[in-house]
Amino acid sequence: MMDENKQEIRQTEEQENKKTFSRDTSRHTWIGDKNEIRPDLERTVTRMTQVIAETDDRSTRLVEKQRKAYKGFITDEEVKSAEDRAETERRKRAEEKAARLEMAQTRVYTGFGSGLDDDTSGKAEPQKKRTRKVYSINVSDRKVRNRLLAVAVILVLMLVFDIGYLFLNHSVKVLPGRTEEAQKETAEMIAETEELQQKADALGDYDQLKELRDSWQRLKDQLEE
Amino acid sequence: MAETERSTGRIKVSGKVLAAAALIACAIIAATVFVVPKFAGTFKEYRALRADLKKAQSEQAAAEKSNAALAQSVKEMTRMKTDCEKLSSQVFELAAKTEKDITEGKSNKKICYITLDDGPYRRGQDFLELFRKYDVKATFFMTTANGDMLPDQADISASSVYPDYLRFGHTIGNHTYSHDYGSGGLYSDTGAFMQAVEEQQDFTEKATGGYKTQIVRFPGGTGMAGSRLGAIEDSLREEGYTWVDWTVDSGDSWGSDTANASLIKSNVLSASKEQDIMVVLFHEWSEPTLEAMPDIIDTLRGSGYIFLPLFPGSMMVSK
Repeated sequence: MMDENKQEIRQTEEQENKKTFSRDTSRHTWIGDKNEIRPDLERTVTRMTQVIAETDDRSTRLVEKQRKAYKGFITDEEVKSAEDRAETERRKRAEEKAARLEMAQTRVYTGFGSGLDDDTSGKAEPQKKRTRKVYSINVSDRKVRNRLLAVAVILVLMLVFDIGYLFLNHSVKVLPGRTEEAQKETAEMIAETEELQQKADALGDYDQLKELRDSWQRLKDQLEE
Repeated sequence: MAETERSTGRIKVSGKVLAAAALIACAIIAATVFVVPKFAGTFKEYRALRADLKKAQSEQAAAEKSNAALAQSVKEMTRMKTDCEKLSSQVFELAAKTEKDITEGKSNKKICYITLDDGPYRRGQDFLELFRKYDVKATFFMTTANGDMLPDQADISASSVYPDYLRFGHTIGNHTYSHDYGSGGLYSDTGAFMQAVEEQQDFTEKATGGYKTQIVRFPGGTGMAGSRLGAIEDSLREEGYTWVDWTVDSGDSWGSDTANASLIKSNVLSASKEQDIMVVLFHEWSEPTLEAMPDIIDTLRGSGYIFLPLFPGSMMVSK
């Protein structure tokens, strides 16, 4: 009975293996016989791979071959173990994919003049969306930070120097006018002073004038007595 | 723009920001490269200009300070001058009232008008100093008969001393320009007299900056005008002038052999016994007068005389 069963299984498997299945792909054109199996794309679909295939986003379309139920050759523990392995593998692939995506969108800036080269492989494709370039500066690195600081300080000093020159240049243009204005005002004031001096001279000596006023006051007092 | 990841110690900077920063840095560097060779020259020029400005500003400040001090002084002096004018006006009003009271016997005050003719002379300065010392105000009847220069000091122009008389509060009277009372002189014609008066007025006005001589003294006195006195007086009146003679002749012009200080003093003091209001005739050129004047002033003041300059409102002045 056992022999008969084994025989039957083998025959079934052989019969199934004779059937061909292929993958449809948009990227490749199979130039051989369409009934011929492509060894690079052939994948045996099992129950485990079926689970994985549902989440696989590669462009490959899997065509499931007709499966025949196994008859007690795979235990539940084996199935669970296989499922765990497949899950682990799926997660690993997902992480790798995420890492690839990040690499595609990010340039790693490791310091001055040592950024990663762009991945130009995809630039030829016009449909590809242009990504925003972001540079990352590692300020936790003391050397980098010191360099940055030094450059910043030098630039600030240069800027101050330039601004100082601008101020000087502006002053050089403005100062003669101010000096001329001050001299003009001084001349006006001196002229005014001369005029005042003439007035003062015409009025006489301050003490004499005071004396004269007092004298008139005394005369007035004498007459009023 | 740019953000810091604290956990990783990285700053993420977008390409545009980085490019802009690079551009700014390049601009600063380029500007510095442009500025460096010119900086020293510009700075030197700036310092020179700054020094000029500071000098100009300090001169301006000094001028301002001087101006302010002088303006204050002029303001104060102007105020005092106004006070003097106001007080002199009040004094003349009071003097006119006192004269009236004296003539009516209502006041026992006495007034002496000291007048000095024929100036200006260098000796006039001595009289001014004396009057200043004795606090006396007098009247100086000026003429230009002696020329444009002082007769007793030829290096001093006559016009230059006129302001001195006014400075001490004295009155300047008009003694005619020519002082020529000989035949064919002032009194030969009314017009000639008036012309001499106007010429002297012009001279005084120029010398003093606008002083108007309001009182005229006839050279030799009104008696010299003879029959033309009335006509001359009319002309003077028409022109707004007043005139005055004297009530006491000091005798200082009677001749060098007779005029001396004691005679002058005697003449004046003896006359004062009879006059409560007197106009005394002196001459500015007279050395004996200068000598006698202190005693005359002291004595008259001791007798109660008040020394006043003549004024048009005085009853001693003819109008």
